[in-house]
Amino acid sequence: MNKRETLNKIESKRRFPFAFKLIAAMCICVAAFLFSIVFGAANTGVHDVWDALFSDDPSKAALIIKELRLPRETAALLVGAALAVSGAIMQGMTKNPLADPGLFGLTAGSNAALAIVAALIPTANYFHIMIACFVGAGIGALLVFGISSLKRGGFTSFRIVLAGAAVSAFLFAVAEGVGLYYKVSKNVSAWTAGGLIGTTWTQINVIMPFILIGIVVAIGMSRQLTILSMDEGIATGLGQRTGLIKVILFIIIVLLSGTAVALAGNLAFVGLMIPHMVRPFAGSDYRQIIPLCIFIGGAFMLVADTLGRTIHAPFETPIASLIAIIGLPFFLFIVRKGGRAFL
Amino acid sequence: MRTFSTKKLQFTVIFLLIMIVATGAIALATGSASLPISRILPALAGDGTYKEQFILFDLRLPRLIITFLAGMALAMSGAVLQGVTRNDLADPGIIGINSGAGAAVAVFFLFFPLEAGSFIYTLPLVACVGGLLTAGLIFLFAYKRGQGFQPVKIVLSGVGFAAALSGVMVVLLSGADSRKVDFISKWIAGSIWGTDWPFIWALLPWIIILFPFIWLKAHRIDLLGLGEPTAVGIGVSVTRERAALLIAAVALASAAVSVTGGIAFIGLIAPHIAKSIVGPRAHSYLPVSILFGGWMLLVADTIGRNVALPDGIPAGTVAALIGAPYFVYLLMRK
Amino acid sequence: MMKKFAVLLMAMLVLLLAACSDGQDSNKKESTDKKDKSSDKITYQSENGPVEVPADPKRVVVLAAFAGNLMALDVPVVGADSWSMANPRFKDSLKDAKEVSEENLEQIAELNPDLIIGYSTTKNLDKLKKIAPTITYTYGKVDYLQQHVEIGKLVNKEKEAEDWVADYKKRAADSEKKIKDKIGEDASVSVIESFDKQLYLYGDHWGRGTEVLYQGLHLKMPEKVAKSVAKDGYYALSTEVLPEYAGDYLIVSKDKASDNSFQNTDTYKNIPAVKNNHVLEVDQKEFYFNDPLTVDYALKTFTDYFTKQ
Repeated sequence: MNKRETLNKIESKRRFPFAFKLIAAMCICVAAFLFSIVFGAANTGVHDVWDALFSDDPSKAALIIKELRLPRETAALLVGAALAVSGAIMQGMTKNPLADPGLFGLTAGSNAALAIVAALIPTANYFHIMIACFVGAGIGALLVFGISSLKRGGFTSFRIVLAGAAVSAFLFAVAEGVGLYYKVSKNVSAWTAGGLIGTTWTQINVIMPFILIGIVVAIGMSRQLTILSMDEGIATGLGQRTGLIKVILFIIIVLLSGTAVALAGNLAFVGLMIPHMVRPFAGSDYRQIIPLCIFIGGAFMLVADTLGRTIHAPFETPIASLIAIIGLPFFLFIVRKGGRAFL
Repeated sequence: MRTFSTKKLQFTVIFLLIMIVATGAIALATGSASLPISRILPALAGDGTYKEQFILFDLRLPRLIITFLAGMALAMSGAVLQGVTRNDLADPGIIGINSGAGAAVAVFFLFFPLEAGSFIYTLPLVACVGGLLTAGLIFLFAYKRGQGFQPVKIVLSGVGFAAALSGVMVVLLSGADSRKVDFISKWIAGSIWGTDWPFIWALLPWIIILFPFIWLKAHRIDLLGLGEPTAVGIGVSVTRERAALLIAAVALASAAVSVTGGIAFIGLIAPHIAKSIVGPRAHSYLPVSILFGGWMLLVADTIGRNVALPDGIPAGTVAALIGAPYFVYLLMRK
Repeated sequence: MMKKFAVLLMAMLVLLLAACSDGQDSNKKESTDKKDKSSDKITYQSENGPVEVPADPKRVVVLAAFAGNLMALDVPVVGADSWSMANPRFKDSLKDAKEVSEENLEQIAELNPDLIIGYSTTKNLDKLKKIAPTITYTYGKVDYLQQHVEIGKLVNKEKEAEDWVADYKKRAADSEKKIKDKIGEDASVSVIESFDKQLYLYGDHWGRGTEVLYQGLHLKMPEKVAKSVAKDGYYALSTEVLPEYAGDYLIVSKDKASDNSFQNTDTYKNIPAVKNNHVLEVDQKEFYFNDPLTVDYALKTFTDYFTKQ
């Protein structure tokens, strides 16, 4: 079988043209975006949104939208997309349906790196913090992947999830210890538990390029990813340089997860859930999964953030906790359905 | 096939007891206030200054005792869990039982003020309910008709529950006053908060009742470990025994963490070390486990208390720092 | 296998000893620091009944934000809470004091205090009582001036406290006249603070200069503010609605370390008070309290600011 025939086989399983699905996902995303912009503490209406986006001399309400809600919701969109794509790639690469940047130590790694930077370099600016998050996520991921692949048998769900739990526990403890010892705990938790509160355009300007690059490259590699997720044997047989591809994908995962933490703090389960929500519609072709993840992931975060803002108004409910609660049933569902995939 | 002599068991137990006494002395002598080791015995006998008595009897001794008791309970819980689920990597913290207990504690404090007075005694009970509910859910999800309980799924579900329940705890109290929020984050980190005599009396009954209960069933744990078909063949009513032991293990862990906060890894490591020294028979490794677990948590707490003053590092954090690498080591060896 | 086990245990023991020697060294200095405790006692009528306290306290531990009150009365403070210790204006007076917390009782015991002061909500009160006579106050039960007089009674310096109150009232009335001449009778002022990524609005008795502004100088509070803070004394605000609560003048209690990005938004910049340059920024670390030292400083700051408008 050559490349074309393999991919055709996958595609033929899906009746709906991809374009329809993509447009549907985009619409959902846009709707979520509008929903989250209109709802908030101040009273605003849809015409204010229009005003905010297009008018040169916006009204007071429109200003609120432009300066406070828009950056925040844009960030939510970016973070949701980044985490969803990152999770999808992880699931494809490790052939493990339980893969998620939060569960596999990347988030904890970013957290620890954040604490260390906050302790040792108090004057670090936003860019430095983001780099620290990358490094931390990378270290966390390396540890987890390294541990689970050291023994023959490789990435069984069991081993990797446990390695993830252990590495996460360790790195979170490091973050806590460093924070307490250097007395920077408050600063660190303001970052990690803060969610999307107070996101500014400055932060978005620093982060957005990275997320966009990550997503674009992910889309570009989606074909290779699909083949990789099926069987490495086929991949090598088809002439792919699996080593190089894996490295690139790994870098993207770290990039996307690291930026997500830098922007929104610690979140787990998003990268797990969204690909699974998308798969019933997209099959196992990552060329479809990844683009859909972008928009559904974004929509999800938008809704979650709006909930976090409004449930206990005017207090903010930490978004990470909300998502953890929503994510659990998903996680359990996947575990239950798992069957042989886990042994 | 190596045979493990009872001599080894005796030797180990005595060695551990010596270590415990030594560590206990160090624990009593260290802290922000000065209490030199040479003054400990006189003060214990009642012959110390007012300040020394205060530090000893009101602060350090209760803390020492409760830490040790909790460590023992966690170790016992872990040992039983590992035996019953036939899974060497089971630990009440990783499996999410601690988080379930914690969520119940969070609900409790939603309705009661932090200074709960005599309600303290119901705290372990409340935690137990949470722990049992969580355990029940975990096993529900791991059970498949015709295949029985799959150990792997138990652990996987547990990890998910641990994360989600921590989230539940935060959400529940995030609308409440800031001191309760503080309490929850301290709890999740495993800082030993119940360091007063009432807490000891609250936890003690659970240990006094459940330890002998489990000890009497120690033999069954071995049998269950042989696999279901064998156990059934020998005549053990598997489901009932399993359920009883599990409930005991969950109850112990829940009661312990209700007063100490979420502490993981003790229940994992203590049984392992015990088994590697005295062998796979429950009658041998259970005593060693609990002594080692109590000692380990004591060490973790004493270290944590004295580093990074004034508030110190939570014992749970220290336990994670020591325990996680060891856990990883275990994983790699499997 | 036994060797491994023994090695592991030994390693842990070494770690332990290392940690404890850390603690022991710093202890030696403390125990040689024994001052003479006064043996005369007076009886103070506290919230919870009469308590015997030293007539001339020389080593006071303050677990509430009252360190300033004691320093204003020249009472030596040996242990203070983290807020007081972080106040740059208290640095000199507190240079010999240690930062203490209600959680670490050993530290407090080691300081050998002869008097401990806390809030009614402070933890471990029963244990604190065993270390030294402990008095608690319910925050806000009496106003800031009466609070100072109460503390004065506690440390046997009631007259000095009342003297200060009388003098303060005179200076405040003076300033009030000067200020109102400048900015008018009806000018209103709001006080906000950004803390932990959340904006807060303050009523008339929650520090940040509010006591001076509203109770001392009798400046007006916008009605919307008054309604929102009626329940708790303060109110958590979303940045979106900030403009609705701003008065003619805005006092922003700032901490450089926390997130003040809300000040860069046009929404903020379009607030009339901001547009007219009627914003005074104060250091949150200095203005957090309502003790005489802080109050005097706040009074001076506000008088200088408003009379220059």
